Order: sequence, then C-alpha cells, then structure tokens
Amino acid sequence: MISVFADSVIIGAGISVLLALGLYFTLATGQFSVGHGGFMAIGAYTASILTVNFGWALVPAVLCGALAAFAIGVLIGLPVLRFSHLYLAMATFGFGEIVRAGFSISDYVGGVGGMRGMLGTTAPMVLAFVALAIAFSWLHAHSRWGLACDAIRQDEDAAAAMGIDVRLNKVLAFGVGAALTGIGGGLYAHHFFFIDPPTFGLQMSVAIILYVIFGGIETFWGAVLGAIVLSLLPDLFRFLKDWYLFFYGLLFVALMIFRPQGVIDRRLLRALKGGRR
Amino acid sequence: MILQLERLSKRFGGLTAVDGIDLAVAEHSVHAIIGPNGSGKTTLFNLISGAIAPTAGRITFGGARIDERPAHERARLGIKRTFQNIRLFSELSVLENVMVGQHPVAVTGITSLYRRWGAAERAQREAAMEILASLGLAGLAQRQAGELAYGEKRLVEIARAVASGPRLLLLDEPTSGMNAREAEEVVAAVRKIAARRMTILIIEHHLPVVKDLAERVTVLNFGKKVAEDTPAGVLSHPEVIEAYLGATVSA
Repeated sequence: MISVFADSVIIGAGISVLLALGLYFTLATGQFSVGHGGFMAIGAYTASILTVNFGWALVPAVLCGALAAFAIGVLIGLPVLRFSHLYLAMATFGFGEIVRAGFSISDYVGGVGGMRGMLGTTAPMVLAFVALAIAFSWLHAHSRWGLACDAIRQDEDAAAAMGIDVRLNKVLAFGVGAALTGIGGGLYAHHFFFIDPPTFGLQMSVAIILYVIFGGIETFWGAVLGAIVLSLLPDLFRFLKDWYLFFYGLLFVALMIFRPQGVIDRRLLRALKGGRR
Repeated sequence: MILQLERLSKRFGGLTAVDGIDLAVAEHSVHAIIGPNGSGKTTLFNLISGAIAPTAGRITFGGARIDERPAHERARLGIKRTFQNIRLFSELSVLENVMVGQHPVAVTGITSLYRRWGAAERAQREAAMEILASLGLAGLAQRQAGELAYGEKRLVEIARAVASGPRLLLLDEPTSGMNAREAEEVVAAVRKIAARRMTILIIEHHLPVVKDLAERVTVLNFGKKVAEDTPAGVLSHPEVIEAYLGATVSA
C-alpha cells in the first residue's frame, strides 16, 4: 500500500511539473495564459480517444495529444499573442472556456458525463517524460533560442531591433508550452481513469499559474520546484484539515510580500553555481 | 548612398512629427542629425529602424526598399541602433546582451538547442568577447547589465549594436546625460567604430562632438529638414541659428 501511495504522489508531482513547464514557456517570452487548462484538456482527450477508442499504446497516444495541443497552441497564439496583459489574460481565459464547452457538448467524448476507461500511467513513465521535459528546458535555457526568449521577455522593441522575430518566437514558445501541458493532460487522464470537462476549467488553469509563480518565473527550475512543492503540500499538511486552504492562501500572500519573484530567481541560481550561463 | 529617405513623413493624429524629409547618407561616413527637442529626430530613427511605419514616403537601404519590412528584418539587413533612453536587457549579463546583438549572424532558433557545443557557436562567443575587449569592457562580461553605471551601460549598448557587424549604425544621443569623462569615452568608442568603415548616423546635441565626429550634418526643425552641410558650414546657416537661438528680433 505504501508503494502505491508513493507511486501516486510521484505521478501527481510529475504531471504537475509537466503542466508548470508548459506555462513556463509561455511566460518565458513575457506572455501570460489563463487558459492552460484548455491545452491540458486537448492533450487528455486526444490521448484518451486514441487509447480507448482506437486501442493505441499510451506513449504514442500521449505524444499525439502533445502534437494536437502544439498545433492548436500555434493556431490560437497567432491572433491572441498580439494582445498584452489583461487583454491576453481575457483572451486565453476565453480559449480555455471554449475548449471546456466544446468537450461538454461533444457526445463522442461523453459530453458532460466525461470519459472513462483510461489507464496505464506509471511512475517510471511519468519520470521519463519529466526528465525529457527538463532536459529540453535546460537546453532551451542555454541556447540562443532561449536567449532570444529572454530578450523578448525583457524588452520586445529592443529585441526586434537586434534582429529577433518577436512574433515567431512568441507563437513558437506558446506552442511548445501547450505541447508540454498536453503531455501532462494525457498522463493525467490515464492516471485518474476518468476525465470530464470541468476538470480542466479555470481552477486547473489557476493551479498551473500558482505552481509557476510560487517557484519563480525567471528560470524553468522555478516551475519545476513550484510544481513539486505545491503538489506535495496537501499530503504534508493534511493535519491542518479545514484550515488547509487558509494556510494555502496565507502562503501566497506571504510569498508576494517577501519574495514576489518566486522562490528561485536568477540571482539564486548564479549564487548556487558561481556564475556563467 | 547606403541609405536614402525620400519625402518621408510621419503623422501622429494632428501632429506631423516628420514632414517630407529627403536624406541621403553616404557609405562609410559619419552623418549627424541635430535639431531642437521635438524636431523629429528620434521619430526619424524609429522610421529607419522600423519601430514605427511611415505615413508617406520611402526608405531605401543598400539599393532595396525597406519601408514595409518589419524591424527585425531591417536589423538582419544590417541596420542596428541604440536608444535614447538606454534599453539593455537588464537581467542578462553584459556578454549575453552582446550575444543577443549577434542574433543576425549567429545560429539561432530551434537548431541552437544542440549547437551550443559547435565550433560556430564557440567562435561567436569569442567574437562577442573581442567586441567587449575592443571597447574596454572585457572586465564587465559576466556582470548583470542592470547593475552597471550609466556610462558603462551606454558603451555596452553600443557594443550590442555593433556585435553583428552592421552596415549602418544609428546612435540616438549617445552622450546625453553624461559627465565630460563618460562622454569622452563614448566619443572615443564611436571614433573606433567609424574607423572600421561602418556607416554611422548619429543624433547629437553637443555641437563640439558633432564637429569632432561628423562629415555631414542635417538640421531638423518642426519635423522638416532646414539645412544640410559640413559641420563648419552648417553653423553659419541663418535657419540653424534661428532654430537654436530663436528668431532674430527685427527692429
């Protein structure tokens, strides 16, 4: 029983890391999304349809879900990423609601009743996906592509004046983030055996945002740490019972006061490894 | 002529910030633009770099029309700039800032994920260090750009702009807000860059600096070109005296 519990904790934390890294790539170019639950849904439903209705193996089904989320991320990103700040938040929120409503009225995937019969997510599989996602993020952070994203996040006009195609990079980063979130969605569906549209609503999108904000948006390690810590919190602080949400809220208020950039920032990383990119 | 503006105009609502300007910049020259505040100098730079689109007129660079191309394409064609209010990537290191400046000449995009260890990338990093060294900034390479002193920031911004070896460098008031020693360092840096046969278009308020650096001077006032001459000649134009000192009172 202990090992089943440990497996479930590892799977839950790993999926959270994938979801958080997905949003990190959006934030890395200075964008914002309140609709990542939608990309998670696209990954989850695509993978579930392929395994349940077409008998695919889980891993290729999850990768197809990622591809679908990438394609829709690019398609949505092209018009939506022209906006900034509050307008972008509203547009991505709208996108998340459209996806949720779309699956709710689609009988093929069970409508509001949801879909069931998915299974097969294992801890080693999740850890392998997480390892690949972290390796990809590390390479990105240390490449010219990552440098271009950094430049865009800090000053779009100056980045463009240096020869960086701001729009292309934003849309691409949005698509890559959607794909990672889609992977998280596919694994999520096959871990909980059941999905329905409300699973991927605003609450899920906000949970993903909180992972990244808690860990810090300056580096991908922030998203990784934030996702792990916040997905372990409910188990660690079970003794708080009804006071848990009170504590959770307090944690974020304190964070915004004392460390608004999140737990991990560049300065901390530099101090940890003593300079050099 | 490497850069040619023909009847270039920019209107913001009722205000005509740039009003039918013709300008030709000779290759390998240093060409200064002077004029009182609000005369349209920075707007002109924004039009050339592609930060904003013109209302009318055309821009030709190296024989090709560029006024409908976005800013990043113009940078790749070889037009680089600095900003009046320094705009470094302040969270990045000085070296990383210069590396961003190399964007048009380095291997970028998705393939850069695995090219980090390639010879081309190593050569680019070395080139970035050399540029910093040539402007006396090698010691600052690993410092965070946002933490530098004002004068240092200005020099790093110039290093970032020249990192890709542009054909045309636009410098927007590079000595503004500086003390005499800092300004002298910037002027020395500009002279070094000009010696590499880079074409430089410079907005500058300090007339001694203009005299020192430029071969041609264009004077703007209220968005219009009022004079163009050598630095010595331009100061004797009545329009220039009027623009700078106000209209002469006639008895």
